[in-house]
Amino acid sequence: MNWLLLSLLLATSDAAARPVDFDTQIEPLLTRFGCNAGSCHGAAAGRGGFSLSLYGSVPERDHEAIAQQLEGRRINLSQPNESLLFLKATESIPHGGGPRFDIDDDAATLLLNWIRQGADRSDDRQLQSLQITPETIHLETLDETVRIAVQVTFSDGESRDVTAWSVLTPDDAATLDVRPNGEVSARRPGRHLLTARYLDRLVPVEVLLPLAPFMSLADQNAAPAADVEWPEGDNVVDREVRRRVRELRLPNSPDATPTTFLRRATLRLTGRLPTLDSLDAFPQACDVEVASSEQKLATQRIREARNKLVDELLASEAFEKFWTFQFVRLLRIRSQPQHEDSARTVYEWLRKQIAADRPLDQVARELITATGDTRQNGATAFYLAASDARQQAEFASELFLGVRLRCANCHDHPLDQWTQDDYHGLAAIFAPVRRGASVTVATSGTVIHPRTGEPAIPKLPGDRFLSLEEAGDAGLRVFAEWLTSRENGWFDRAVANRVWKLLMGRGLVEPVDDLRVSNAPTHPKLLDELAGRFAAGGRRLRPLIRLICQSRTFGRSSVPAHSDLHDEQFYSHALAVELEPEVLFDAVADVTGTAPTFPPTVAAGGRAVNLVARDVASDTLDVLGRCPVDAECSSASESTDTLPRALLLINGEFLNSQLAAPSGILSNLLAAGTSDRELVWQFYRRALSRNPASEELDFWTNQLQRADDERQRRAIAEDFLWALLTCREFMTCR
Amino acid sequence: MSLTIPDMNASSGLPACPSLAADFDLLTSNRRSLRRRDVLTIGSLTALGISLGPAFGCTMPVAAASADEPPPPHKPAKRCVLIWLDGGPSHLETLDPKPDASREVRGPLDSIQTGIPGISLSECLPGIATRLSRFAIIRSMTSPLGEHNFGTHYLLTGYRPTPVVEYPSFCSAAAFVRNAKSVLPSQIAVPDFRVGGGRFSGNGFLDTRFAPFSVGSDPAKPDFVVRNLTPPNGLDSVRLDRRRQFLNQLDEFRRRTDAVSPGRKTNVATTTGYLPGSSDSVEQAWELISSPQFRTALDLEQESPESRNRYGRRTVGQSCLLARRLIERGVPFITVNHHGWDTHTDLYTRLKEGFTGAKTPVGLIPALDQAVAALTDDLSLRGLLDETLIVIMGEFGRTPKLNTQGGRDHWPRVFSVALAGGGIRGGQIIGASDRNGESPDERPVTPGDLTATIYSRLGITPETTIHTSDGRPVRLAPADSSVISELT
Repeated sequence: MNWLLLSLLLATSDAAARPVDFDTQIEPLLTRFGCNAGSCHGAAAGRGGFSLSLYGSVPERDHEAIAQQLEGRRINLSQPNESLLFLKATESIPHGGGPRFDIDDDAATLLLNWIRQGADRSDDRQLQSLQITPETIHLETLDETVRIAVQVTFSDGESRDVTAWSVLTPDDAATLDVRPNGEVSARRPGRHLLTARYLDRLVPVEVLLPLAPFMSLADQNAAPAADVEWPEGDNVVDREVRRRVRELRLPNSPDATPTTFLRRATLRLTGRLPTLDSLDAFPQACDVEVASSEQKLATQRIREARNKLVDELLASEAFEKFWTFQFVRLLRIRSQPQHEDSARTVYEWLRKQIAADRPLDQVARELITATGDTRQNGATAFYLAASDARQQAEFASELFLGVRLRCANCHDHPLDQWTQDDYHGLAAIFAPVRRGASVTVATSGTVIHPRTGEPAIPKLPGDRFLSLEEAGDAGLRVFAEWLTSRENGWFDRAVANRVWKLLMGRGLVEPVDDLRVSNAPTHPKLLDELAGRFAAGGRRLRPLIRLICQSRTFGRSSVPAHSDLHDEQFYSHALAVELEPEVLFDAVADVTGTAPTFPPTVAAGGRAVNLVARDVASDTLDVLGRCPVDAECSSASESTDTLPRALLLINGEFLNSQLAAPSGILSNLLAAGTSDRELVWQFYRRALSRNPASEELDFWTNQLQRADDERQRRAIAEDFLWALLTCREFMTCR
Repeated sequence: MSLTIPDMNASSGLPACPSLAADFDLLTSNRRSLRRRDVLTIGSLTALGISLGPAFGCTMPVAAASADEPPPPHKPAKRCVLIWLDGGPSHLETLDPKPDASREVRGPLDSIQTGIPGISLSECLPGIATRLSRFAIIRSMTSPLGEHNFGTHYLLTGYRPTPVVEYPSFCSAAAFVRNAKSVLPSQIAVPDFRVGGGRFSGNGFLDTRFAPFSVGSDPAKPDFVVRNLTPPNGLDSVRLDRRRQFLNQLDEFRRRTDAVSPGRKTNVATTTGYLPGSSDSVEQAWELISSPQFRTALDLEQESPESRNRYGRRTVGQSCLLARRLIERGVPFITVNHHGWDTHTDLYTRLKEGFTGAKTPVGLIPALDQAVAALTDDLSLRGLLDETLIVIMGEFGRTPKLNTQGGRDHWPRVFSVALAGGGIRGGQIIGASDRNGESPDERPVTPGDLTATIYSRLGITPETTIHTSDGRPVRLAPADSSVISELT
């Protein structure tokens, strides 16, 4: 007989055959009907005097609240249907939360059966596994409905379908229609998520509905197929991205032109605009003179040229400096007020790690176990970013694990596995750290667990409690080893996700510090693969970057293949991203050829990306949208389109003084008697990294020729240059 | 409808929380009213920006009234001044004194009687006390969030913060739904919008052009100017116009090139081209720079010295004066950000005296009182008070007992806010805190309720739904909130 039928028979024939189990049946019921949600009795203070643990995480406490508190009035063993718990839940008497279920619902039956059987609790049965079928739902139309089934197995061997007792939550209620019986349909095309919860187990389900309804079916089918592979096959990035693109039937954009690729790769890897020399050399290297009829050969030539460029950029000093800048931001290095001297030390230390391409697990371990004078040991940076053990735990979880443990400060994380024990346990590991002019580790230190009022026991998040021997600096070493061990996937995934975002403009998981089951990556397998290869490659930064930048995906045009296509997460085209304020700041100086603005003591070469700390005072950078020192700045929707920024660009000294600079490139070109065409040509190449189209060249030459005298010519040239430095093409990496 | 449920708290020892119980009843009542109303769903944010039809603005604000509901008692307010007391003002030293409580609760300040029998306020609020007929005070605000960033997010958006969505403040959301095109910014913050620890942007998930525009300098300073509002020497209007034209030309070149990219298909009916990150704020900046209106509003020198003195020469006073000048020129939303209310230590000096041994008190409360009194007087005199809603609040209250450093710490469980103008029925106290100012004693009001009320007073239906950039619908005020009907 079919197991499903069998279990149905068992369930309906006689509940007494298997006593109703509190921990594995009644708790899920309370969760399913919202009783122990954070907004109801699951709130830290409970509600209406009745307090349950959030989503039934502490069954012994819940059982006590139900069966013993209020002099046992919540349960009436002689007349089960007179139990306060039952009367309230069915709103037979007034209930602040309204009726949760009806007296003839299955839930009512289950609850009454449990009370009839004595309302007992035995802790001998646990949830062992949870499976959902299907794990991915492929829909073809908006009308289509698919039913998912949630199957659990308990430690006593029983297996049953608990779809009706699970909480099925769409990630976004506007995108999915999810009914309690497990029926799912989509309200919009795209990739959507829902999570199923039973007890503490959360499993994501992906729902896919092709995203390009504006295209004809023939176009939909043709578009991705027409995109041929690279001659020597795909790399893993292309394989996984293409799979998703095909699932959603998105049209791919073609390869970016050589100059676009050059500008993108140079900006993303070094934070600088391409040199004028490379503007000639790179397109030449991409060009196939031999036999343009050979499509395959042409593609291969482009691929080789791109790979060579990426390698050159990776080996450059500019790369070193720019990625040091990324780490300065990640580690929230500050220079004011107490860390003035240490900031330089930290910067130099970071720079050395990047220069040597030191394995990042070693870097992380050194950061976590660093002690000593902050002016001498740059690795103390990690402890300068927080002011106490709890902050340190939050920072550590976000930085190294890519997870937001902070939700578990006051209550167990409602959407993830993290508990208060994890949060305060990790804080307890950091409790012995003393911060000041030097970082030291005491033999002990405590953090009070808010639930027990006692010192929290040090704990590895989501793992084991530390032993008494693992106190003081031993605890930090244990944490560092655990964090970077091969079995612990968090670190590798967090790094892979961040690096992906820095190169591609969007994290596979957004925000990048919020990795969790219910926030699944857009490309789950790709994130796993990148993390795996990062680990296998010795956890060095450069091979990971090379892998991504050598993909065809990295090198696509940023113009969507269809004007109605708004694909912001599947990489059917490259994402155009605004230049970071620091990069923009330096790029402007490079185009205008003006002297560096920051003193060399805080920034090598005066460049903004070389600033030793995130908080070196600069009004201009702040107005341009610099991320505050203590913020993660990982949100997907960072925008710098603000009125103060616009006013700065128009009226501020920032651009105007550089345009007028007597020693700038404009002044030099004018003094040298450069022709109008040459002026236009020069600045197009400097600012936009490309030659002007003939239409553009004509237009601007024409404008310059309207000048009556040299003074006017300069004014027009300045205005032209101003427009170049504020136009969208200049301000984005596209 | 009952606002409380039976306290079953006999054995647990946990405090019953009437506010939360009330939430639930209000929730059900709200559901009922929701069915009666047409929930208005307005436009949606697309990946590229806003797609609101031009006709949209006319249908929006007054949609609340439907046939079976009585007309609102007052016309909605056109404008709003939010006086934000950043850091969390002590309710016990301001709007909710407890003269009969023990010394450590009562605190160092005396209280004074107001024009309304039985109602007393802090001794430092004589201006508000004598004008109490204009003010409604809510003494039973309650929130569970006692951290600056969280509390600020809750009070300014009506929603508790979550990592999933950053909600927009009512300042920004109001600007968004009204979507009025004007040269002057739709919301201005004086002197800045650094609120609640500085992590709150104001616009939330809305485009940054709906972020409050900070004037960025202190109107109390003699050299007060709005940064970068004036072009530098040598940049006359001819050149500004040329730059504007050149910039548009470059963006247009790009758009045209992209439109004919290899392999690209274009739906001519829906789009004119693709250009990521087109800047609306640059367009607005051009308008603003050439607006004499804005420059005049900002020129406080045009006020007589007497007028400036009436507001008080401190930042909050001159900010309120600037707010009045902007209101007169039709700016719909002004946030006066009054810093410094996080008084963990030495609250007597900071709240009352300003500096130790001051002959005339110039602390936070007297400065605020003087500014608010002058602002409401001036608006009233000009007939603008009825159409201008004034809201005075911070992110939470402060602990009922003084701490050992003569200060009070964060206390969100009960606190007070004051409202005036904009059709608010003055001279009333709504709700009450208990004997020691620890918890709401009656009529608990959540920040969600307050937000719903502010929207409603501004003529915006609180149930209005807006969308995040990925299409998630968000109600302006949370589903479990309801308008504080006694206020009008």
